[in-house]
Amino acid sequence: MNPRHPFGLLAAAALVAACAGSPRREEPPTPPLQPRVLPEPEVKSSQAPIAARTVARLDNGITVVLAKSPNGRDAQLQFGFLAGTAFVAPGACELAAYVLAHGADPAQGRPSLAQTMERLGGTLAVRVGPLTAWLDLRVPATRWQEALSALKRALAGTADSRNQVERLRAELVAARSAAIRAQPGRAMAELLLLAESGSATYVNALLDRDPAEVAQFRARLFRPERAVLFAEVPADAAAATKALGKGGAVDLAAWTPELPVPGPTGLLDRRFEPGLYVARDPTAAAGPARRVLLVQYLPPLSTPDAAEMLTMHACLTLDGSGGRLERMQQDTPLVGVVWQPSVVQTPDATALVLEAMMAPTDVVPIWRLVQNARASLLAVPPTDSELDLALARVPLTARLGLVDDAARLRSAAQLALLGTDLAAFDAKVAAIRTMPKLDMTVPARNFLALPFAMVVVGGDVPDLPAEARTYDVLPQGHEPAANPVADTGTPQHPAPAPTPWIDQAIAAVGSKELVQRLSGFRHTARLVHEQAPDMTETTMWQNDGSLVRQRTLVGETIETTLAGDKWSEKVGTTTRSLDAAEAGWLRREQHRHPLALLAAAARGEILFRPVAQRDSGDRTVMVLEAKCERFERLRVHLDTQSHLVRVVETWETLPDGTALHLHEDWSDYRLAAGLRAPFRRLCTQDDGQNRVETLFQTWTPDLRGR
Amino acid sequence: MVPRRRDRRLPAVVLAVLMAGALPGQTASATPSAQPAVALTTPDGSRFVLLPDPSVPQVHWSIASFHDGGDDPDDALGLARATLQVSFLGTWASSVDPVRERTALADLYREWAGFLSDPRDAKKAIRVRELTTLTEQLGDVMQFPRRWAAAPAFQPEIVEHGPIGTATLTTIAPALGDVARLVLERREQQALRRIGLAWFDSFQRRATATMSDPLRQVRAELLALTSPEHPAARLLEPPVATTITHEKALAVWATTQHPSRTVHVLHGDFDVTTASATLRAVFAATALPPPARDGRPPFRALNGNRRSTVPGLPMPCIAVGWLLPPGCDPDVLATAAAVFGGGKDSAVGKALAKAGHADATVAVDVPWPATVDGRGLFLLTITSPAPAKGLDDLVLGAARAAASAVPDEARVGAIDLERQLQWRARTPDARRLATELAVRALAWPNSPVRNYGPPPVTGKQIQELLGRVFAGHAVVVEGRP
Repeated sequence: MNPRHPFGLLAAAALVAACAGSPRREEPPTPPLQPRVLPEPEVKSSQAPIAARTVARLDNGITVVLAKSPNGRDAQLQFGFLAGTAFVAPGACELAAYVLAHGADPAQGRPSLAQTMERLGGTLAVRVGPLTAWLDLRVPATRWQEALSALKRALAGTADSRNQVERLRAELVAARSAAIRAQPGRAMAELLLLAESGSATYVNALLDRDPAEVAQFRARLFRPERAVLFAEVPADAAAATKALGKGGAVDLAAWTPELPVPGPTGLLDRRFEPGLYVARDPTAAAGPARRVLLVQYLPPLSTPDAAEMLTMHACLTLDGSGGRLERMQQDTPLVGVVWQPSVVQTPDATALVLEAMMAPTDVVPIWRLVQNARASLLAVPPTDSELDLALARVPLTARLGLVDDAARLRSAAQLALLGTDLAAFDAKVAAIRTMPKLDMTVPARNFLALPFAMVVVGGDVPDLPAEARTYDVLPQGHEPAANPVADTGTPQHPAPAPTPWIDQAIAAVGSKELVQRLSGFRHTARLVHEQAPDMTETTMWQNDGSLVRQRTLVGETIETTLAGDKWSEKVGTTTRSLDAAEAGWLRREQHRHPLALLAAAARGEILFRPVAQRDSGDRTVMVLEAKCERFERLRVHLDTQSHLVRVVETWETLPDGTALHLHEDWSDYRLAAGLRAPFRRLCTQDDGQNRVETLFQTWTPDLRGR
Repeated sequence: MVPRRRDRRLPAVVLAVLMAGALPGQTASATPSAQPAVALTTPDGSRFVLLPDPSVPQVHWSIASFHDGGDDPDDALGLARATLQVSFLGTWASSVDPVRERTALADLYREWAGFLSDPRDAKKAIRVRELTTLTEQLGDVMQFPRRWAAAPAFQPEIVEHGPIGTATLTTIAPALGDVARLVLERREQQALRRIGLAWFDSFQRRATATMSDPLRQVRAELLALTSPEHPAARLLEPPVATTITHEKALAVWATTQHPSRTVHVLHGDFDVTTASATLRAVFAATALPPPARDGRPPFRALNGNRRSTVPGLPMPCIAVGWLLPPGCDPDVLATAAAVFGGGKDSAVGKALAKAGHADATVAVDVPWPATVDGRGLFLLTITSPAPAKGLDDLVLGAARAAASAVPDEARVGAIDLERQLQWRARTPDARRLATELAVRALAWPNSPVRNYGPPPVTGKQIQELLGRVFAGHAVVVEGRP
């Protein structure tokens, strides 16, 4: 997903209108590759009409798209929000949607939506994409009103308790970890569509979510005006609308949550990053084969040149058998690599995956070959026979994202609302087939611009190219046992000595080797204080004590510079010198960044000793105290589950001599150049009245050379 | 072609459009239609179930066939399963030289048998390797997948459902003719490449399954008393390593895939009239010989209750079987089985608890072994940490009670609900639905094919069915440690 260019209504209309365009013909049509004489009539699509769709708006702002389901068929109900993973910190959307589906209110006697669905004999699936989140319900036709009533109760339910959210978070993490462990390659393919960069990072992001974030997400984004209901039910549109409207049997229109606290709901700059992804998987290091997945994002069908791009995709792979890629394999030792096609999808995107097992030594050559095959689409345009095969294939490829019932209905409704349908797409393909001469240069270029990735799981790969991105399959503590116990009950290897807490904390943010190389960082951030206007901050920091910081407040910029023994602060044209105490204060602020502390520990500059293990609200933390001259007294609180630094506590003496206790909560860990860094800090001073929230927009580490 | 900007965020665009109120009140005049399933038998005898649905934009094609051992040679149990597994690796039409390849494959497995009888013979090992290389050169296992892809068909795959296997693929209506010809070619000109590897895999799976079944001796004894020649009895025996010949594998394929032995289900967006005409034209004849015999002998009618004891089991257990009467409705049967013996809340489960066997577990299998139209047993199994003495009388007493009273409707409703849930879990999409329906149509050819969940069953129907089942005599096999 590329969220940089938000589309509006005009763009959508333009998209639809653009579908009509077609290149002009110059030569008579090329005959198909294998002309055939059919002894039987060509099979047509069904002549029966499909269900009509009616669009309406409920009083509370929910948009409903209704269709009547055929007799006897299950009712399909899809409730979506314009609120996906790209709106908030990673993991928050998934957790909020999961809590909505599985949260119950025992005090009010309200079972969870999932429990109700089970009682109705139906199914419930939570599907989350970068831009939208959906609850897909399927129930016996006669129970559709009960299902929607349960949904309304879940939506209107009181705020979920911390304990419940924590329990559900643990459930979700366990379920996701199990799914990743079972199929690490496919899981990673799905996560790429969610703009994630690694499965362990994703699980860590889930672990990192605080119940307060769920409540905030729900209040701001799970709102009627951002919601749409696609329903295929055994009632005509008028009756269904009446049931959903105010005072109706379902009364979905009565869901009117309070207005939320204003806050940002914009898109984050997260996207499917193309490239070669290699999983670090110590438990599979000895395996003889690697599982390789080629993940190709497919364009939405209403994209103007979707047909052409899918044609190029078919020319390239033909789902792994008979395309250019396979033909190029035949001329190499990789001829034995056999691809199996499948589809992965989120509500917002579909990717076609080709999967194969191969020797570790074949992985990099396959990566090169795939690159060459892709590039060849431009260098050597598809031949007529390639295009014939591809164009025959395109209508099927276009439908691969529509096999799942929920995806099918969602897509049909969406296409209908954009004024197009599959028939229009097929007509476009048919029109292309009749064109005598096709110039596929532009479609090839557009196709190659679509996100594409290769994922490798199963262990080490020799001679990895520099562009490869390595990632962990699961966070520490979530992997299956590396040293399984033999049948005799005797461990195959002696039990390893317990790893010091600080080492586990270093491993949780990246490898020790990488953390050691951290020599500084740069960031941009927004500082929020309840009683002051927001402030923006840009900082460049080096371990040697160099600091350049610019803070902008109400249009005024304050630039602070520490360079060697020259310390100054400039406001407008006025510059003043800082004293040693002020400079020390500023430097210690950077030195106590969790990653700076861990880097110092990794280099042996700071020693930490365990102090106590505490239950802190929803988490158990290990308190470690630093032994070094840099800080008077400093403690870090490590989460015993994720091993991330959650709190840095320090006791400072201010430049004016006042003693101060600073409590910094660090959260929202995200991957930044291979390191997991916190993107949110809440700094509280000892009187509890002074709280400053720092929301990092970017955070980039400076890493020394090897 | 004119380059245009692409949008990778269509759903958000749609939602944004909706939320902007741009498209309220849209309606169309079309009305939905649920078209009934159409049964079709083509001139070659192939049975088709056509389930058109204009809202499913693809066509899913699933072919079901048995691999329950009934068609396997006595010395190659599991061969039908192996043939199915390799059936997408190509036909003689994708051979460089069909005659030479057929000879090479026959030679390979003969040499292979010789090599396995004397693995130290280096000459035989070299000969096997040479023939393996030759067969791989003569038969391109990638050509058939290429032709499916070009047809076009997506993801042709084999899925196992107990004793039934399905070959399933996805295509579109205009390609049905080409796909049908490939389906026919797969059946008529099957080369069974790499059957040796699949045979070893099948053997290993069977060995694992047999050794991990603690009740297999009890089940085998039950079959010995009711249908000693039944292939399921042989499948319960620990397998003996044997080799196969290519000719034998081809013969098994011809039997299991004969038009009279398979069921095709087509589900999706296609016109029934033109599809039927195409299928009739393509599936006009078969060169496969008619199956010589049905390897599934009938169950013996019981003249009285029969009892037997099997020693040496890991825990006490008891298995009770009744012959299923003809004409059982599969939905009523499944619900009745759960009411009678499906876990602790069942009639037998409650009777066990009342009699002090709270730790006992009860399970029921119907029909067992799985076969056509329920021609098998109603099998109830109880395992208990305590001695099983008296359990047989308890079960027979519960059977009499079940036959004489209408079961609690709340319990029946709960089981119906559970079956609805299971059905929805098995059919999350149209492709899986086609596969599910193919399995059902093969196992229950005389029951209607529906594309929606199991219908509700009444207590009266259950009582009536259980009355018919328990009117017959029972076979009781007790397992002792």
